[in-house]
Amino acid sequence: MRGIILALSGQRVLLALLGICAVFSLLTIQRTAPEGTAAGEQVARVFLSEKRPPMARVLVVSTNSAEDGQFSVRVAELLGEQGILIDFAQSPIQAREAAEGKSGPPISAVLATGSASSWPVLERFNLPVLAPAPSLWPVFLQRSNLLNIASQISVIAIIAAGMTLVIMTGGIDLSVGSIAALAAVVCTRLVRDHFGGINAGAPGMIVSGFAAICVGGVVGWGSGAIITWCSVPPFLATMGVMLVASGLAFQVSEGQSVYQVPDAFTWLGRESVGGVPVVVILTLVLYALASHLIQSTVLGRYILATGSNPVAAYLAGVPVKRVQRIVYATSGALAALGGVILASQLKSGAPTYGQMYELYVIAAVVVGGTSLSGGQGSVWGTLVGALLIAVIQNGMNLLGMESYTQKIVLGLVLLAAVLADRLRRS
Amino acid sequence: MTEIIPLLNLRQIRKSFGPNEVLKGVDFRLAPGEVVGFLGANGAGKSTLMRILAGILRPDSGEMTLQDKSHSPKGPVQGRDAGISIVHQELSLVDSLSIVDNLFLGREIHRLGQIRQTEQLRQARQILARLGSPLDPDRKVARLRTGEKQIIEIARALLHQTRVLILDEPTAALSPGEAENLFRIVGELSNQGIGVVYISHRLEEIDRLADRVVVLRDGRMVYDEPRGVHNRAAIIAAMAGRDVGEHVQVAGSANPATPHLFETINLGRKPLVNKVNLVLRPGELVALTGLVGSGRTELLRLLAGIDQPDEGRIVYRGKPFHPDGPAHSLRRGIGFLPEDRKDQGLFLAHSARTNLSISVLEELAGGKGLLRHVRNRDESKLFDDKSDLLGLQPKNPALAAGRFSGGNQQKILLGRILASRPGLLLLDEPTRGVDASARRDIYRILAEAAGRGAAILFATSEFAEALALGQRIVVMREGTIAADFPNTPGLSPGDIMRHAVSEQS
Repeated sequence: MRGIILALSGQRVLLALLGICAVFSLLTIQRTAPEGTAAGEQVARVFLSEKRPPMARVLVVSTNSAEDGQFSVRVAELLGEQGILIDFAQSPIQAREAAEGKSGPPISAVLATGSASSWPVLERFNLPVLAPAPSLWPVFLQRSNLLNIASQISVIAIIAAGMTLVIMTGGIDLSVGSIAALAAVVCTRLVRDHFGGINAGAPGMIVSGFAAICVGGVVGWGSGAIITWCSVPPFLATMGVMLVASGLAFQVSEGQSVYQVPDAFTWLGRESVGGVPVVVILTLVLYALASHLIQSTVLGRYILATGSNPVAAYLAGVPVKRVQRIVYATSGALAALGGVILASQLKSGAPTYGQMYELYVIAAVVVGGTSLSGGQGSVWGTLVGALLIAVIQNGMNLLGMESYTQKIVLGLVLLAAVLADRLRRS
Repeated sequence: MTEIIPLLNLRQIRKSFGPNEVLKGVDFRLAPGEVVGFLGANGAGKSTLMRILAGILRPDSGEMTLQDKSHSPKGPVQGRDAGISIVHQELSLVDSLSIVDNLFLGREIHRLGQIRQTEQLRQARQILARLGSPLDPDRKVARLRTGEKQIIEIARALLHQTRVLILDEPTAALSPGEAENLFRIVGELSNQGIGVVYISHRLEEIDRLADRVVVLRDGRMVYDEPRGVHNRAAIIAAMAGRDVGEHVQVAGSANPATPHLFETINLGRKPLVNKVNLVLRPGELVALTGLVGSGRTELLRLLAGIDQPDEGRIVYRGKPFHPDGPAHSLRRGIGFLPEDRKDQGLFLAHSARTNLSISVLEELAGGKGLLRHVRNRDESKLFDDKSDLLGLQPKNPALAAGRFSGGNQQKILLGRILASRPGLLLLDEPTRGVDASARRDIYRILAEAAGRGAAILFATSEFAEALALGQRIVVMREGTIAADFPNTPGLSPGDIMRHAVSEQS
C-alpha cells in the first residue's frame, strides 16, 4: 500500500488530475438536493426534530425509481422506530387517496422526495410538505457521476495496462481495439450458439469469456511472433493484425450485433459489489498485478531492459524476443478482456466495438508518463492517465461543451504530455 | 616534388577532447599530384586529423592553407566544396539509388527545379570512363560489389572538383583484382595533379604507391621520408614507439599441461574472420590485439556465440560447443563484454543495481521462471559484494548508470559479467575511454579473476596494454591469427606491430 502511495505521489500527472478535478468541481457547483437514503435520512430527521405532534401520521410520497425507493425505506426505518404511522404513495393519485382517507389519525405532514415534491396535488392538502433541502454541491463530485467515470474508463484502463507493458519494451500495439471487438463477438456468439442464448447459465458465460480472452492472447502472441521472427516494426505488424482482427470480428458476427444473451450477462459490466462496480474492482486488481510484475519480477526487469537498450539486453542474456512475445500476448488478452466487459456493459457483442480505442489507450499510457521510446514508465501512472482523460471528457460533457471542442482539448492534452516527456529527457 | 608550392599545408594543428590531447601540434604538407602514405597505430590521431581536414571537426589551434588560401571549413559541406574528399572504409552511398543519382546527390544539375537527367548521365559516363570503369550509371548501387562502390565514391569526389583525396584503408575489403584497379586509378589521379592521402596498414601498398611516407604517433608526426629513403623496419619502429607501458602484474603463464578450456578449429565467418585456431586454458589472461579492421571484435563475437560461424568448430570443456546466442553462452559460463558500453552494454537510465544484476536475475530469484519475485534485499547484497570488489565510485546502487564516469560504467559491466561466475571471459576493449585509476582497477579485477581460474581473452588496440596485462599475446591480421606468443619481459610494441601490419601481398 505504501508502495502504491509512493508511486502515485511521484507522479506529476496525479497532481494534474487532482487539479483538473478541482476545476471541474468548482465549475459544476449547482444547487442539488440529496437523493435516496441520504435524502430520506435528512427529511426524517427534520420531521422528528421540528414538527412532531403526538400520535403523528405522515404520508411519504415518492416516484417508483430505485433511488426514491431507498428514500422511502430509510424514512420508514427512522419514523417507524418512533411509532409514527406512515402511509406510502407512489403516484399523485395514490397520494390523494391517502390524504383524503378519513380513518385513523389525521396526517400531520407530507414527506416527499425531490422529484415527488413538485407534484401539484400536494398543494391541495394544506399540509406541510417536507422535501430534501437543496444545497450547493458540484455535480462532478456526485457519487453517481464519479462511479459513472470509473465504469466508463475501466475498459480503456484495462487495455492500457497491457499497452503499458508493450510500450515499456519500446513497442506499440495498434491492434487492441480490433481485438476487443473480436473478443466481444466471440464471447457473445459462444453464449448464443453453444450455451443456450438467453437461457445460458453462469458456467457457460464464464467459459465463453475465458475463450474470448484466450483468442485475444493468441492474436497478440501472433503480433509478437511476427515482430520477433520476421523483424517487422511493431507499428506495421500490429497495424496488419488490427485489420485482420477487425475483419475476423465481422466474419464471426456475420456483420451483426449478437444480443441473444441472458440478463445475468451484464453482471461483469454493470453490477456492483459492496457499492463498488465489479469492473472498478477488476481494474484495480489488474493494476496491482501489473505494477508488481514490473517492479518485482524477473519478467518486469526484462521488459524494462528490453525497452531501454535491446542490444545490451540481448548481450546480457535477456531473452528479448520471448519477452516481446509475452508482452504482446498479454496486451492481446487484456484487450480481449476489455472487449468482454464492453459486451457485458452493452449486453451485446458487435464488430464495431473498440474503434479508435488504440488511440485513447496509447494516449492514456503517454499521458501517464511512460516514455514512448521504452525502458521507463509507471503502471499506476497509466491508470492516472486514463482517469485524466476520462475526467476531462466527463467534465466537458457536464459543462455542455461540443464534442468537436472536446476533441481539440484532448489532442492538446496529449501533445502536452508528449512535450513533457521530451523536456524530461533533455 | 616537395619543393613545389604545397597544395595543402597544415601547421601546428592541435585538438583535444576534454583532457585528452589527441593532436599535439601536427605539421603536414601535400604537393599537387603527390601520393602520401599515411600510417599510424590505433589511436595515433589519424582519423581526427582527417576529420579536421574535411571540416567534420575543428582544430583547437593551428593553421591550414589550401593552395595558399586559408582553409577553415565550418562543416563537411564546406570541406567538400573547398576540394577535400574522404573515401571512408564505411562507404556513404545510398543503396536504393542508381549510380548517377548517388554521384549527383545533393548537387543535382537542374534547371527550373527540373533535374537534367541527360546532362547528369553524360557527365557520369565521362567520369566513369576517366576511372576506367565499365559500369552503367543507371545501375542501382545496391547491386555493386564493394570495390565498385569504392570507385563510385572516388568518382563522386572527382565530380566535386576534388583537389585532395583521402583514401582510408581503401583495399581492406577489395579483391586483388579490384585493388589493382584502384592502384591504377590512384596513379592517374596523381598524374592529374590531385594530392592523395593514402591511409593503410599494408606496407606493400605503401611501398608501391607512396611518393612519401609519414607516420603519426600519439598526436605527433614522428616520421616523414620520401620514396627511396623510407624502409619498413623504420616505419614499424616509428609507428610502435619505444615506450613499453608499465607491467601491471608479473606476466606469468598458465601451465601448458593444463587441459584446454576452450579451443577453436579453423573457425571463420566471412568476410572478417578466417580460419582461426586458438586455445585458451583456465587461469590464462590472453591479449588479443591487431590493427583496426583486423577482426578482433568479430572474432570475440563469434566466440561469445553472438554471431554464428560459417566454418570450423569450437570445443569447450572437452565437448563440441554450438553457439546459440549470448543467453546460451552465459548459461554455459561464457561472459562477454561488448566494445561500446553505452550502445551495447548499459541501460543508461536504469540504476546501477539493476544494471549489475540483469544477467543473474533468475538465479537471484531462486530458479528459472519469468514470474519469480526478485527481492530488493538480494539485489542489494549482490551490489554490495560486487561494488567492493570493483572499487565502484560512488557506491550508490540507486544512481542511474549514465551518471557514473566511464571507468565506473565499465566496472558495472564487469561486475555484471563476474556476477554470473563465468569460466571464460571475452572482453572487447575493457579499458577504452577509461581514466588511469579505473584502468588500474580493471587490470586488478581481471588478474584476480584469472587467479580464481577463469580464462580471459581481452581484445585491445593498444599494444602497450597487451604487453602490460597479457600472459600471452595473440595478434590478428586480416581476420586470421598472425602470431601467438607468450609475453616475455623485453618485448616491445614494435614486436607486435611487425605481426600486425601486412608485409606480403
